[in-house]
Amino acid sequence: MEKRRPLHTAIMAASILMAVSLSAYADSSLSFQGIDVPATDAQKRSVTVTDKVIINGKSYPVSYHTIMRSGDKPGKHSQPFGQIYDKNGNPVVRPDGSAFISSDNDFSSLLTGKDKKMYMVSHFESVPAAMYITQLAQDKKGNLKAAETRHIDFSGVEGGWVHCAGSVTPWGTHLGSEEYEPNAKAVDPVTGKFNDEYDNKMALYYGLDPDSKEAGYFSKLNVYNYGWQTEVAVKDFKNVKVAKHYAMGRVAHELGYVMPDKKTVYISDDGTNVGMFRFVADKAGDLSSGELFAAKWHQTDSENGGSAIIGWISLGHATDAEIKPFIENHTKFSDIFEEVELKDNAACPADFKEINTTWGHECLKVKPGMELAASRLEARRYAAMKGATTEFRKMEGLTFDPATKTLYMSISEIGKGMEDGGKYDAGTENDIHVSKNTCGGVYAIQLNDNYAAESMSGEVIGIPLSKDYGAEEERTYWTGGPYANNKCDLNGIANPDNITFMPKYNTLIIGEDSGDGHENDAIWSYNVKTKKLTRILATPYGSETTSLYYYPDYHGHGYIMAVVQHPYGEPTTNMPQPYTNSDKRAYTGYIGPFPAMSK
Amino acid sequence: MNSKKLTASAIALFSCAAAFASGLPLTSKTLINRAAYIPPQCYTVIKDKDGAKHNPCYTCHRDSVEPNYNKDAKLQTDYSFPEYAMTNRWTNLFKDRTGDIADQSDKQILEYVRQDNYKDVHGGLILAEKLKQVPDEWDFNHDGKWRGYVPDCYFNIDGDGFDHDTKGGYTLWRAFAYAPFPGAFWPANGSADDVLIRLWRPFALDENGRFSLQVYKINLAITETLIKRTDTAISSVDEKTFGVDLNADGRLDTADRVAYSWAPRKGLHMSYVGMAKTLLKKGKIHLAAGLFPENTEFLHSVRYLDVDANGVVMGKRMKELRYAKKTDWYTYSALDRLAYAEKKEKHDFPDRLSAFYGDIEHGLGNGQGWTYQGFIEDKDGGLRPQTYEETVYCMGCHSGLGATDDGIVSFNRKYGKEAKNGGWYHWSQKGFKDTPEQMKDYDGKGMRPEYTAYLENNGAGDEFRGNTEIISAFFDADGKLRPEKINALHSDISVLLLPSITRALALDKAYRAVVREQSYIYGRDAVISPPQNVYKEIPAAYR
Repeated sequence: MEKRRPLHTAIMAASILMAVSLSAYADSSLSFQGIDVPATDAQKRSVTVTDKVIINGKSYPVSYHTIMRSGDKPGKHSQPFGQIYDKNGNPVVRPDGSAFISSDNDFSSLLTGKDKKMYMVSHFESVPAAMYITQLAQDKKGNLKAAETRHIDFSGVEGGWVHCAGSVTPWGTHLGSEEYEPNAKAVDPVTGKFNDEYDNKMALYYGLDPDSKEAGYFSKLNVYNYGWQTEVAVKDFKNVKVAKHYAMGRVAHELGYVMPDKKTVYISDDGTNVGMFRFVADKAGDLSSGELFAAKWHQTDSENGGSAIIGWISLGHATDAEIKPFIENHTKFSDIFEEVELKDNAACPADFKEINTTWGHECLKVKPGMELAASRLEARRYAAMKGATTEFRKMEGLTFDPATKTLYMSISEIGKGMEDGGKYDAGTENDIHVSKNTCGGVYAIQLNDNYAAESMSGEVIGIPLSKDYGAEEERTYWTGGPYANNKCDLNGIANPDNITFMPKYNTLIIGEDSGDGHENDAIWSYNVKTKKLTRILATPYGSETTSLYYYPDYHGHGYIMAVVQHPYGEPTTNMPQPYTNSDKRAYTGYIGPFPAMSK
Repeated sequence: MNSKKLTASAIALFSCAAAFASGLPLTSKTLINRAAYIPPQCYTVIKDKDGAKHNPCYTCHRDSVEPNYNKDAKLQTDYSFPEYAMTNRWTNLFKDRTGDIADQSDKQILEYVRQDNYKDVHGGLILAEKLKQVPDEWDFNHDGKWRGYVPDCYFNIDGDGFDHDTKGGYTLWRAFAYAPFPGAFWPANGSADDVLIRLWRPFALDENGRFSLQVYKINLAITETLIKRTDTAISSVDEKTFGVDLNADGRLDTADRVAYSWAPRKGLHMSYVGMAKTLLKKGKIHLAAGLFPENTEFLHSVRYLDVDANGVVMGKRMKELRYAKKTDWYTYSALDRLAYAEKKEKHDFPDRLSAFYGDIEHGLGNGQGWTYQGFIEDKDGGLRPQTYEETVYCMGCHSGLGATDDGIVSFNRKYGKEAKNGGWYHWSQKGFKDTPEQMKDYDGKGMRPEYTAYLENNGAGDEFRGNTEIISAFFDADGKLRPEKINALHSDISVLLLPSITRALALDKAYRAVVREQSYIYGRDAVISPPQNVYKEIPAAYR
């Protein structure tokens, strides 16, 4: 019997963890003790986590530690972690007087400031979004605690938008994302309302009522301010610099991940009918200018999630400074593109280009002189017009193994544009034509010496059990048994989201964000050499773990940062049930601390 | 034919062993229809073959008002279901019940619907008694205790809408009359309903902790004011007694109304009275427009149709008893965040189905502070708790719907001062007869007679346009509304809402067939013959 430790026990008893620091071993090996699939109702309602990891032959206890939960004020001068502020630095307050405190904690980086102190920059993926800077304290055992936290002022870049995953650049800055850029074409021409998925909530950043119907009321709002890679440089707790890199293109940035050359950045684009992007900076360590490329998938095999030769299509060169004026001058979608509506099977004229992206099947032409604006403000549409592949679905985490020059990318569902035909392929070249697999998969992308991807293939692919998930035959678990609510095989992954590679240990850590695929989301350890998958953590039904990120040696200790979102949603004993707000606050924390690991 | 018979008897045998149609134990959390939260009405065909459009959807899906952030008006025109739900799994809709109806005589069904399955001959509550020693097949955690709602309403309603127990004491349940929701909820389409509200006990106590009916009535009026966002008439009271400026005229004087005067950011505050006022000050409970205070409860019985000398009336027998309790407070910000999370999930994973927490014993949470639980007839007609799946059926309408106020549909539809006793009465005390049609504004498009507008928009009196009785009565051969019927409707909703006696009994018989099969998970609508205007499969054009 493997032991299980519920999350709350782990949190309450942080001190039970006896971390041992040690220097790197030459023969780096790592294995986690696996855990069982939660089977009883009680197990399904708690976090279960492996209790040990064996590093270089020596066993270490493992648990999850909370640094902060949304709403926490760790120090005297702290702001509530996750509270959303408007452009003037005032808290966003709703008509009932309630403050907007986001519980959508996402990626948190561990950084060292120019003052050599320890900091964490944390994402909140809401609209308006926020990033928080937290000063950390580390004890001798490696436990991290928050000392002070405050929101980072984004007024210079007109606020933040759905900050999702992120990474730490080789030069020590935080590279954050803005996911699901609002569709510029949908903006109401009279009011300026975004008409986005989130009901125009960006208005709150400007102290405006999102529901106003007054003409010109939203003139301060501009869709093209959102959907960028955002770099955050920390000097000290008070001095934090924010830059949106317009040169890197505007898409649904899940994540930008910088290669060891300090120039090449891979960008995963999240959503339906999306592309894969590569930015190559002119100067190492400076992301403000460079050339942007979009991938072309030349399929070689349709099995196991598909394999392809990857070609690259240049979208041209740009600098932040060149693009910024287009935004400041309130360039509109209709300034960039001419469009012919494809109603009732109308044909797309020859001098136009038929595309299919997140925003559907369109027929567009770039207006004269607007190529540069199109290449960055509308990078995905422009990439599609240039012939790049925009048939990918739900690109998520990226991580890199420098030893084998392999980039790993998770695609949390293989479907829609990736399938062969259907409405998502209308207007495309049907580059990707693989079988639907709603369980998703992690792909391995082989890079050349210049860090340009050359090929891509499925590495760890989930196994669907039901037809609606892509199984050829219905072979779901027995409806009367404990596993009935899992549509993906429990011995495989379901809907991989954030991933992180542990270099030298050949270990890929895979986090799930699943619905019906796996009833309880899991975190897996996957050995890329032996291909062995080990389940190391399972979250309660309805909650999930995001933002996995590995730090082999952060001030003398190793950590895997992780966020647990909306835990303990399940009722427990008596009515009234404990559906309290506090129960739903997310946890930002880490698995560890580990000894400092070989880098 | 043979194989058909075999299948039927096999099902019957199976039912005996496993209590309901899925074959699973009642305590199971396994869903046979994973999209059970999407009700059958969502599969309505909204465009005829000749291109005519029908919109019964706007009543539920609306450009909602803060703090209902589930603005879902666009669902009026699309079927943006997860792929799994593109197949209509409410297969009972497609069963022809003509045979089942013919098998039951009018006498038999009337005997059945007149039988009380809620109260025994001594006025005791059958279900409450049974739950004292909970049957193991209802007991989710098998600990011998029932931890869900125990029915405690006696339906002994006084002239002021208040319920009394067998000793005459107040149960604090208060019945109210409301404009029945357009479509499926009208008796003409299957069932009679009633709704009662109960505030938490401190709302019925004065500041010294003594029971005060006056305090309770004022607090109910304050709740009504906050939900409707408009003034509510009350019997004249001296505000000094309560220390609350109820009419918001800036001084403590005599008030004959509770004024809607709430905008905390502009310095306009309201307060409950009595003990609730103290609790509000201490932050133990909360107050905001559009939201009910903590521990508010609703009880909603769904009943068969009976017939008396005056025509069709509410039957004694309950088809269902539905219960809701607000167990937690969510601020506007918190509700906004939840709606955002829902939208983001739908955007990220459009094919992912919604999940609901709970089980047969504890009920299901809507994730926004409310718990819902229901009781439904077993195959012999006794009430039993609804299974997890049967309760998921309730959740679609009570979680992310534009039409609700704090997850509740009925209270904003409560009749006000123009009605008998300010709308505080039970339908058994006054039926629909001579009740005027209410005016209602949908999405800021202006006040209109609500049912007339519904008939116009929908071209029928039910979602599936299967109620031919209404169609032939209210529409002429060209599909135009008959002015004389509409005129009659304006002053008397019974002309529309009540079916003929023949139809009423057929609806009862058809539903009883579902009860016998215990096949609620395949649909619990009373279907006489399969409706034509409902998709079995959403067509490709909409996907």
